[in-house]
Amino acid sequence: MPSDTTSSGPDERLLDDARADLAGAAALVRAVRRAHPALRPRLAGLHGAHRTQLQVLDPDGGAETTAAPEVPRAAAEALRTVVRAEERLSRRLVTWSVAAESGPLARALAASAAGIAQQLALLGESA
Amino acid sequence: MSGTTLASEQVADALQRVLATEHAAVWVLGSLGAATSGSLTPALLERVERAWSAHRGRRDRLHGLLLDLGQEPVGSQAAYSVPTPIGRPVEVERAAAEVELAGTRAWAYLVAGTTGRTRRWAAGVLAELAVSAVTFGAEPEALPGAGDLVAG
Repeated sequence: MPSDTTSSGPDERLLDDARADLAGAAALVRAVRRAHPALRPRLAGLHGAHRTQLQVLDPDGGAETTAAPEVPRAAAEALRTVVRAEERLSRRLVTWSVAAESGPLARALAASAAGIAQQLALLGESA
Repeated sequence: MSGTTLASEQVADALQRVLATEHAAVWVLGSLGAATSGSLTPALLERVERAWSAHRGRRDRLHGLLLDLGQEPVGSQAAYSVPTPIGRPVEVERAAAEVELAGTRAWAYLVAGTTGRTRRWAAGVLAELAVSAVTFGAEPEALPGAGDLVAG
């Protein structure tokens, strides 16, 4: 967690949104891995990346997802759903990074987006 | 540090530090390109040259940004240390990955030290370098360029 960012600071709402989106994406990855065991190895990197990103951005684990994510029955479509969700998350993390008042928080958000970009590139290579 | 009230000296300092990193990256990747065979490993040469070209572009843009701020851009050193040996493709890849990983750390620092359009650019470059690093064989990271935030 960036040391100069607190939940009562000017970035409070932004950080809450980032945590919620990240937790939602992590939940989708978990649900797809559960529903499609064949995808478990390919999504292991994303699973681990989100876990670490949440430990940094949400060390108290306060972010909650509101609903269980829907998982397509076909594995290929489920994978595409994950990719679309991660692309969207990566774009939003960059947007929040630019908007953040705190430089350290901006760095953590941009680095999280970069970590997702890495995983998407690796997923593309393994397709 | 505020997203709207960063002093221009802070911004200039952040840009200078990243420019110094880009000077090194251009020099080292140029050396790696020279050590790579276009006939034996054309795909590797193409990746090294693409990375070299991207770093040159970033270096030139950083140079221009510093001039716009009325600052004298830091110059390149006469030479930089290149990981040795770099005679085999796997060694070239490893060295290129190290260059890109060093870049992620520098550009993540620039994200923290700038605002607005420059920060958006820095965040984009950070992602580009993170992807480039894994294409050269680096291990993926949850937070490229900010591994210090990850506990133990």
